[in-house]
Amino acid sequence: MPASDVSIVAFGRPERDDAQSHVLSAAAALGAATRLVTSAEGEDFSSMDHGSIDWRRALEGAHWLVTSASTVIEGETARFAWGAGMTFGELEGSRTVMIADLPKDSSRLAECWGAVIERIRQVHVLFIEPAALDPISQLEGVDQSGLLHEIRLRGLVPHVCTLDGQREALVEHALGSVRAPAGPLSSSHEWLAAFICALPSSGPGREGVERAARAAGKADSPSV
Amino acid sequence: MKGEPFGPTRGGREMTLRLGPAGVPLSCKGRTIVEGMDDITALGLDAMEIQTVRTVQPKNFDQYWQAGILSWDSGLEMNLHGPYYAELLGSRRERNRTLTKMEASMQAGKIVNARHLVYHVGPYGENDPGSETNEQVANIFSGVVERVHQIWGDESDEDDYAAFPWVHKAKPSLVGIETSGRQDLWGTVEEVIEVCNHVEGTVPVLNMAHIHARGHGRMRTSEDYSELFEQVRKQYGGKKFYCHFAGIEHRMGNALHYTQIKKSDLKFEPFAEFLAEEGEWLDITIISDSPLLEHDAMYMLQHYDKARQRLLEIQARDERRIKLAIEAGMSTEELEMLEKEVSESRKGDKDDGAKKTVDKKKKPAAKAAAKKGSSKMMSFDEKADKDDVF
Repeated sequence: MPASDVSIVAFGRPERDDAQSHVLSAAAALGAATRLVTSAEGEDFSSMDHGSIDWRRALEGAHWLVTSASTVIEGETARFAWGAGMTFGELEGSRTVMIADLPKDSSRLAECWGAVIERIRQVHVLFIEPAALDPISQLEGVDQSGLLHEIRLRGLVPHVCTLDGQREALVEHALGSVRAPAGPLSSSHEWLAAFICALPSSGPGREGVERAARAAGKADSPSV
Repeated sequence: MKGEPFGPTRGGREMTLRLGPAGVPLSCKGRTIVEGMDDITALGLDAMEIQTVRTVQPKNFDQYWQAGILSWDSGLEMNLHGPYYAELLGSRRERNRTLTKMEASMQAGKIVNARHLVYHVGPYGENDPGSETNEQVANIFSGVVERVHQIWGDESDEDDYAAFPWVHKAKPSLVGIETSGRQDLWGTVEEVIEVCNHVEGTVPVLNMAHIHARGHGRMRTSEDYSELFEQVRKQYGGKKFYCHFAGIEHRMGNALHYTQIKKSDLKFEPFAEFLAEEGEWLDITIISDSPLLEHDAMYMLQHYDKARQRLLEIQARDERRIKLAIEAGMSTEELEMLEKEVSESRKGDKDDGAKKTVDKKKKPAAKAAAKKGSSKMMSFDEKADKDDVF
């Protein structure tokens, strides 16, 4: 399946300045069909009318719903929409990609991470941004080196991944772990976009995850 | 009396069945426990398990008191899940870290009027499975039970808790020990029962998804549930059960990922069939911990109601047939002969659909006969059960 057959929906800010929008743009540059679900034109994202989102229609045929931990603190109704999107994703067959990022106000990380943990069973790919690795490992009381593995085991998340300082992608998954070069991609969001574009067609099992991780590292850096 | 024991809420004959989600319902607009309880009641469910996730934040204690009062007044059963990961068999540091998190949930359990506090044990670590390890777990849990009783206090604190009557009128929370879903984690059904038998105040928590995964997909028919509950009844005793149910993906005896019930090979229908047919002796709470929380709790409720309805229909049909036969002047012997003839003529029917039904009838009947006589749930309509209940 080429990236052009992959359909990705993201839920985030209309300004497209958050992590999920960066992933969405990178995926679009790779050829994926993308769509951003956000507040209506002229509406404030933090107080958006979350009831007006037709999630069933928005997620129709989508492989992935991408969102981020920091979206939770954008506002009450944004948080409702964030949760509803994941629930509809579960119902409609779209899998949730959660980006565990650092909020602008880093003191609110515990709140963001707590919201992710509450819904950990709805998350299929958990991507921990490199900058969030250390604070999350402190919150969890786990060494940074074992964080991905521990989170996977504790939450039974199918894929937990990140990029390390050596530009290597680490993917902990249900059948083992993969370490693959992140390649020429200029940001972790580009790597994640390439990874989720490759994953649906990379085949089953351990080899499938490894193929997707390696393919993501070889993807051309999309000009976003 | 309010609070403990909670009155029968659902089910025919003697059975008490409570269903609810593990956490604030996903569809709840608010995110507080009290708002979640309101939603659960509105959905017609009657239990909730609060997830303390990592640690209990002191700022949450106010809403916990409110939840306790609401639970006491409304009869909604509250339960509480301890840290989502434990290392009770780890190093001293790891064990103490887990116990510290558990302490917070024990405090919260009293405040919220939790009937069960549910805990994992965690990896075997350097211990081998066996009695020695089980004894170690039993020692830890006897300390936990003691601590729970200390926290619940005694009559001398009466004045301090005048507004929170359950603190003295209800029994302290039972400590639930949950079965695990991986081979490297302590918590087979046998291990959990052995420890619960040795420590008063503990109860087994049967996580069906974990039991299914660890048993390489063992929970397939209503007879599998019958055997499991019979095993627990024989080895542990009592009629009170606390269970978790969710869909699960598993491989090589290990749970990989939770799924909604519909997408798993662990089906709820056989459990519903067992509950409707043989569960009259049970007092059971089932918590949905699927990714679809209350949606799957409702799904379970609908399937249980459907299974019960079918059983009642079959019973009513049998009674009517007997009544009509008696009115027509038939003796009991003649009626038996006639039923035998009808049954034989049905056997001769070569219709595919009928054959399937007969095949389905035979298998459970062979196993169930030893315990309870023939199964009455033969006409379970698979097609209808697959309908989308939402």
